[in-house]
Amino acid sequence: MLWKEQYRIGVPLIDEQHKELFNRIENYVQVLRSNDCWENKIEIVNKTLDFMKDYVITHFTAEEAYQRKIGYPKYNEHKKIHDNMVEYVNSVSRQYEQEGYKEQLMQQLAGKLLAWLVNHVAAEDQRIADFAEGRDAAND
Amino acid sequence: MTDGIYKSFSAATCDVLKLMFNLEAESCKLDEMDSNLNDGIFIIIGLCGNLNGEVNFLISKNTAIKLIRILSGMDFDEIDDFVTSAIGEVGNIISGNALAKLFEQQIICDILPPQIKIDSLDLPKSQKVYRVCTEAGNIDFWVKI
Repeated sequence: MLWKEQYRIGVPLIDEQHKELFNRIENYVQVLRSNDCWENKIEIVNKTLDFMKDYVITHFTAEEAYQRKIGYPKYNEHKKIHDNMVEYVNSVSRQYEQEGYKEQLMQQLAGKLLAWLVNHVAAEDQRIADFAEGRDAAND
Repeated sequence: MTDGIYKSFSAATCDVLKLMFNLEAESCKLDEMDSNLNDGIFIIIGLCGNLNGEVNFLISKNTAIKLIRILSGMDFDEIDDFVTSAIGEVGNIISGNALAKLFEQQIICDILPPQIKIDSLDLPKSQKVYRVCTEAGNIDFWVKI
């Protein structure tokens, strides 16, 4: 399982969404790396790719709303990181369609996305939790 | 300044290995390049701004496979596009982390997307090579500016 308890940042809404995001990426990677030949799995790879992409947007939107709600000072910086990743995924997806659904691009996308997500959740998103915790402590 | 640059990349490598892989890592002495290091993955990250040049990371194939196994929880026997892309992103993350440390030293620069080469880069002759050691293997790096 890709999700690890150590990724929990202590904000229930965000933690649940992260868990779901990891599940969707894990599902995508598992389908992509299954032993079946590429031609047989293109359809399901495409479906899981769309399923995962949808949730990336859902999660980023909700997380950004939470950041605005708590007045997170690095909101613009964090949003830019999200926007860049969405742009990257969309750009690779477009290229994938235009080039006729080649496996190599999907393997590259999955590898990068996995490493990016682990770092983003473990490092960048932890800063949101640190800020929220400091803010709550100051309000007590 | 060079010492500060190396320290930044070294500390960033240790931080990222701990954060992403839960691996304890430390800078260790490298007397000479291992003869088998040609059998590795080179991650080349361009630097621009106050520093112009590139940082090169060298990771043996065995270490790369171990790292991506830890990251994904999946088994890998060989270096393929998935492993190469994931390990390239790790190099990108380390470099981004190093930039923040360089910024604290008033060195402002940016990084370019990683280029990956396998078995096809000359080992450095004049640059000093630094090594970070973990139980999963070593990451060597050098900076050309």
